[in-house]
Amino acid sequence: MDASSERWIGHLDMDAFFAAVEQLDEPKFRGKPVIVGGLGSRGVVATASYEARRFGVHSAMPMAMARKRCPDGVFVPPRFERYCEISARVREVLLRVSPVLETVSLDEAFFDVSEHGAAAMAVALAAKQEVQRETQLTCSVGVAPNRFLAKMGSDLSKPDGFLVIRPERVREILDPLPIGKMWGVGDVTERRLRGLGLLRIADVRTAPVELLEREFGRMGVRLHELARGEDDTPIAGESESVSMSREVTYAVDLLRAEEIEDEVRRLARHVAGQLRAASMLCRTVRIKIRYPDFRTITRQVKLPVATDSEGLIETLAVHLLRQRAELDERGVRLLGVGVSRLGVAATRQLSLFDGVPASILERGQQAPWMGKESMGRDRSPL
Amino acid sequence: MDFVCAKSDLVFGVKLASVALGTRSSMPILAGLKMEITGSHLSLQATDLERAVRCEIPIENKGGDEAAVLNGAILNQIASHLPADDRITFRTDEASGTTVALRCGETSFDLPTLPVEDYPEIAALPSAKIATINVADFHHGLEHTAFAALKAGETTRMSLTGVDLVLKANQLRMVATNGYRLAVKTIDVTECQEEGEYLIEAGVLIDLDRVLAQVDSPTLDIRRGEGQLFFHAGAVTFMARTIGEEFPDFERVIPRDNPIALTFERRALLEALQRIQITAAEDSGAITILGGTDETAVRIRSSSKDKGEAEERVRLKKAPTKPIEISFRAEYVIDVLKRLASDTVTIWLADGRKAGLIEPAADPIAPADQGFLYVCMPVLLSS
Repeated sequence: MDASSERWIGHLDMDAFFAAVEQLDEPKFRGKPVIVGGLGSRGVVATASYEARRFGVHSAMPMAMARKRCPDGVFVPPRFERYCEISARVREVLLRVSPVLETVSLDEAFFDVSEHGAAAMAVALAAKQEVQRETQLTCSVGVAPNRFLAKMGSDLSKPDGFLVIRPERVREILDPLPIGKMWGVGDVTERRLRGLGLLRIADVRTAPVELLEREFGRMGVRLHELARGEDDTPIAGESESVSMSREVTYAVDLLRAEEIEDEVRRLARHVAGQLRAASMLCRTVRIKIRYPDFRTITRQVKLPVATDSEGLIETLAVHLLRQRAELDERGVRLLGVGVSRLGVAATRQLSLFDGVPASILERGQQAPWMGKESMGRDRSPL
Repeated sequence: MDFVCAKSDLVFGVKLASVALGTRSSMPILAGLKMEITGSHLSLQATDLERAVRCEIPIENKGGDEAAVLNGAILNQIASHLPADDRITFRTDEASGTTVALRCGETSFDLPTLPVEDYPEIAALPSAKIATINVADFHHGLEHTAFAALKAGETTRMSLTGVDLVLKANQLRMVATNGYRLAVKTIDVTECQEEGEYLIEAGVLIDLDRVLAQVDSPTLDIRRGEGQLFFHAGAVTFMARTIGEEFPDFERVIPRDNPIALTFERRALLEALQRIQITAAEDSGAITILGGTDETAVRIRSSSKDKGEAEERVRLKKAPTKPIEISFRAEYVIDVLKRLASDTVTIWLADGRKAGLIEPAADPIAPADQGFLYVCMPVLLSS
């Protein structure tokens, strides 16, 4: 195998993205702890600027706690349209260097620079610089022979970092890291690994794979591979794991069915807007409902043809709500609409009319819920 | 009910009315065909509430002015298999009043009736005409537009299932779109008393076309009801409900000055596309047309991950004035080429992201193709 056939994957992660955008657009926020997230009584932090992180504020933290830790912070609600707009520009830059792009979220993407051979690192570095020039925001990039190591590279080099993890340096870099730093290891897994006396990635690497398999099943085998720096997950323009969603936790539980449906419609339109802004299509639409007792359900529907149609996503989300979710007088605490099985809108049939959500359901793929009877058409006698 | 009629008249009336028979089990009465006698005329009616057909045939009435509803599908089958005899008699069974005896030659049927009072009232034909049009022109108009709409059930946007009928300045414009392609046909109107715009489901108009094909009348008049349009030709009235949704602003999307003309021999292009379509990617169904200024031909290509690739060189009448690369869903172009009659067609293009305009080309345009244009949005392929 010659050098040119080596695989080189890049992972680009915008630094404290939402907060950085707020600081970019509003100069007086610069240098201050900026916290973006739901501002209601039960909101959570979406992103905290590096200044805010010094106060111990981090994403997914309840907003009330963030306010306590950082009383002088700047608290702002997210502006997804704006983030989508910048995210689309980042994608454009990356598409120039890589034919294969996997967008993980608005602020994160994998790209493949293998085809540049020996110049792969230089191309990835140039892409980072180009993104920074284009957006006026900093980002971190990891480059490595696989997806896992690329992600570790960007994580370890944050903020404004660039780290290449070559195969011969994998052990040196990974071994000393606490297992909590390993991508994919969440709080629960971390606790269980610690319980087994495995504190660093080196411990997982040298642990017998049988032990990990016994404890964690297939995930244990996977952890062992990752600890060795091995990952053959392809990066793909389309993947189940890729999704976009919008969730809202309401300050006061929503009780009325019409109110809930209106919210689902609004969230669906929002997600469709996000999809379009990112020039992507989805093939799965799902809704999420959390009841006041915290019981949470998700319901999803797969589409035969990829879409970014606002009308269709809205119709399907409402269909899921009406047909597949139970609502009762207790109402709901949280609603979410998400889309997944995303694909870069590589191929895209352009529309004649703006905003006319034509059916994406082509001939012979009639959806049962779209039968004539349910269309609310006036059926008075002739 | 007691009458005699000619077999040919009955077959004609039953066949026509059956087009509008309902199939919904929620309203079993709509499976019925209503027969209503007025003097020496029998009116045969059927409706599924979207459309209604009424046609009149002459009879020799031996009783009073009465009405009965019989199962339409059964009557239609009987009409297809009547023995060789010219006269048919219908007579309500005096004793029960709930069956009708039909006799033709040596054959007799006793048919149960459905409750006539349950049958929905079909609005009477309004007296004022809004327009009169030539049946053949109307037929070509439907043939060139109805296909471009979505089927009912494929969308919740009712306007995309319809053909928009625009009466203006002694012309009828028929327009249909699925949001990605648009077909427009303009035909002359013999008389136009009132201008207006009406949207009717394409499937309903196709049924009207089937009806008109059997009516021996060169012209058709259109009358306006409340939420319906009536089409009247000879002894037949066809009623269609209008769709109460606004049709998209189509004038705005018709490209008027695309500079690049690609003129093809229609059959050659159609056959090439049917071949190249075989390897078109499944999601987009796209074929790509590539043309340069140095050649009086274009290359048409397709490629798909699973099925392979294809390319064909297709001759043009003249080299393009600018290089062009554009992709379309093959089906959208094939749909229109199949329906045209002219020997040559021109595709007018601006660039790979803008709508293409397809028209029958001159020298000469086939009469059936007069007044037709088609707009198709391209597919953007990644590269």
